[in-house]
Amino acid sequence: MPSGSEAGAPDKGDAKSPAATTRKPAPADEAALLRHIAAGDRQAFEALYRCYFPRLTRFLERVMRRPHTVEEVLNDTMLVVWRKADTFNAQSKVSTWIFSIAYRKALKAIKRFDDPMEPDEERVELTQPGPEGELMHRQRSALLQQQIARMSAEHRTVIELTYYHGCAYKEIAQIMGCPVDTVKTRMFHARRRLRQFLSDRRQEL
Amino acid sequence: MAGRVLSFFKSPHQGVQELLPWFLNGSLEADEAAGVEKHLQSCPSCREELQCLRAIRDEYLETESVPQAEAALARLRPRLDETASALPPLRRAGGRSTPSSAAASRSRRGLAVQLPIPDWVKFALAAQFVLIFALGWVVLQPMKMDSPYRALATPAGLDRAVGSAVIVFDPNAPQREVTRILRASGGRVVDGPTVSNGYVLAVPAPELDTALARLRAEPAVVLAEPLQLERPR
Repeated sequence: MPSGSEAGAPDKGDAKSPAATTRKPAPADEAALLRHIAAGDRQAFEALYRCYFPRLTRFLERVMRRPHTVEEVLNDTMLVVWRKADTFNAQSKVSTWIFSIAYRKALKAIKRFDDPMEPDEERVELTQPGPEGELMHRQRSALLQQQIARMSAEHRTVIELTYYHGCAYKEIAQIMGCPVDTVKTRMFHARRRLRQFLSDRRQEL
Repeated sequence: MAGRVLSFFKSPHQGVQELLPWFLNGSLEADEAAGVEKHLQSCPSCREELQCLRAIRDEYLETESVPQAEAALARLRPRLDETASALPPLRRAGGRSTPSSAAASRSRRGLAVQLPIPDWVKFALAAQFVLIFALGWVVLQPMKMDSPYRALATPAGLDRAVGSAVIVFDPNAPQREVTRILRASGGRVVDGPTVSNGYVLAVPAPELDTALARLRAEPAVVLAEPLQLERPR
């Protein structure tokens, strides 16, 4: 939790999103990789695969909540990238294109697999005991994940793309194939639920 | 800023509140970010909301797995090979090419799809289909004329010379008795039991009269009459 000392001063965006800060190729490099892939360059494909694997894994885990299907959907996504690299429209970012494929594949998988989602309740109990403050923090974090898991795939997607991947709302609209206002509304509802949840937890813990 | 960022029906405050998550992740465009910042200076409610969003984000980012790409990539590789073999040879030959040859390869692939088909090929294909159809018609015709329908269960020889008989049993006759009589008749049941407890028996033609006489002698048989099956041509 941030300290209360910040509360008085106007906040600034701090772009803390891990995917935005981790080392990854610049968009121009990615577009170049994609051109090589379109020509059938396997090495270029494997480079792009390794670059996107952590991000896509995390994204699909969060959107689908079915860990055992993540790799399958991820590989299906990258197979589309391999096959359709020449159809990439250079007007959008490579990441937007790949994430939009992954999102569509994830939604299809959710419909196809009628199996239960990952039970998050167990995570809280499995949390390693540590110093009291740390334990409370972990517990709260795990409970927050639970709360998000109960939301729809669309709400989870907006949260994940905003908080973890540092996407702009226009990019999210492109990835999800919906108007920007829908993205803002989904985020607003998700925030309200999470905020309510956090304030309830603060009183309990 | 307000005209571009905010909806006509939203107050500036609502518009800024909606944008806060993207202000926090630093993805807003410069003019949007400046507008949010300006609003924050005069709006304690939005400042508090931003603090809350930051708290949510920090907790959200707590759990992170470190997945390994190599095992999953190894499982994808055979599928890439499948795809490569399904692609036109031009792309497979593309191998490690430069971006310029990539563009050339792309255009060549386009050509491969749009290659014009000469007229003589179209005529040859059409003639081939006509010939196949005509041959099929010629071959199938005699079968249609000369071959009678034969079920798998039709006994051998039935199509040569077959007599048949209708047998109706007394409704009170025990099943065991009915079975015994049918077996003793020397024929095969080809139909029945009907609603009137009747059976159609197929009996070799020379034995039909004897079989009928034997059947009529049975007390349980109410009716035993010959019935001629259609003989094959």
